[in-house]
Amino acid sequence: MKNAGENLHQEWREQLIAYIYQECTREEATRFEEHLGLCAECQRDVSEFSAVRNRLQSWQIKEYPHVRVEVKPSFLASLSQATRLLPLWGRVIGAAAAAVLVLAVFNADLRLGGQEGFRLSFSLLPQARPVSDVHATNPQTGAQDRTEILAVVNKLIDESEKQQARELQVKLTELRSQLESDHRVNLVKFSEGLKRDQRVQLEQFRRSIALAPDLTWGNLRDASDSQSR
Amino acid sequence: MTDNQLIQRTLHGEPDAFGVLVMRWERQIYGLALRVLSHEEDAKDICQETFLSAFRNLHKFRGEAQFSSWIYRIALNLCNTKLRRERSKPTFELDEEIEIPERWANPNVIDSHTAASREEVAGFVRRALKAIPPEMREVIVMKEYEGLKFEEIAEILKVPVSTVKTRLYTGLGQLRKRLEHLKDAL
Repeated sequence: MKNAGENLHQEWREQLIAYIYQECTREEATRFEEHLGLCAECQRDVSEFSAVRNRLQSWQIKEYPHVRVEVKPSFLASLSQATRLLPLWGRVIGAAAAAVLVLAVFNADLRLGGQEGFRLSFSLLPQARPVSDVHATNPQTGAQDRTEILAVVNKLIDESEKQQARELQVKLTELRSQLESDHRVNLVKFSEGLKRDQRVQLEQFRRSIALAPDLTWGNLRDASDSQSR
Repeated sequence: MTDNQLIQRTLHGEPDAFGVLVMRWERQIYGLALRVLSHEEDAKDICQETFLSAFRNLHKFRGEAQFSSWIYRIALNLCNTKLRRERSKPTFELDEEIEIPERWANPNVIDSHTAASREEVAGFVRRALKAIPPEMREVIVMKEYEGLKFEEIAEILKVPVSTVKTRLYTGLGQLRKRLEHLKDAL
């Protein structure tokens, strides 16, 4: 009985709230007003709740701050938007390029055939493939290839040495011809200088003979003797 | 342009459309947060977080409910998280006792010169609201200040309408007690 009374009272409370906030139908309002005429508690609630509501309205916000919200589209959203602008072939090429990039970044290793069949492996670290692993399935072919590679390397070394020898020979020849040329020039200069000196001395000698009319072979010999003494 | 149209534009890569939504709803969200938390800076932060969270989760918005209900719910969840954190912190304010000015203790001395100003009453209302349990406070704030219907409040809180009404009744009853001394103030 008590529960029924409480439930009834609870119902009137809900009606009271709907009534004071004017969210009830005309019929509900009429029904509640009839109850209100008989219930002192509800009369007091309606009166005092109205007063409380009036006081609540005294708190008004005078200043509202402008909320600054910076929204930037995410990388994926930007990418998606950019992709939408591309034609279909552009998207296909872009997707293929992205796939190749991803495979390269993760050092994808794709093998077909052989004893292992199909194999696809990824690694973050680049892995150097051991030489022995290159032809692990056929050692004879590997030895043959190594000989060929050695022959090619030796040939290259020989050619390089010959080339160096040829270049050295050319340089030596140039140097030699340069030296010979310099030597010839010096000889010519020396010869000309010598001839010039001889001509000067001869001329002086002739003049000295012309200035001495009494010169005889005997005087000349005496003069030469006295000069040598 | 409706909220849903702005949402669609935002989802199609137009952040400016979301800016319009922010301008449309920032006052309501700030008002709700301020009256629930009773702290200006916290209310600003909650307002900002609400819109950021809404932007991040916009793709989850189904459009079945109104955008306003959705964003109010985000704001209230953030407010409740904030209040829970505040409650877990040690505090010296053990009770929200309201100090009554002596001049109001005796109703006979209240006249036009000594009557409480509107700002003073607003201060008491603020403290009284802060003192009641959050689940009642948020319902009163949404009803009294945001003017939402019972159905809308029920939708935001995901509770039956009857629960909204009961919380309102209990909340108003508690406020009545706490604001009793202001009976003659205004």
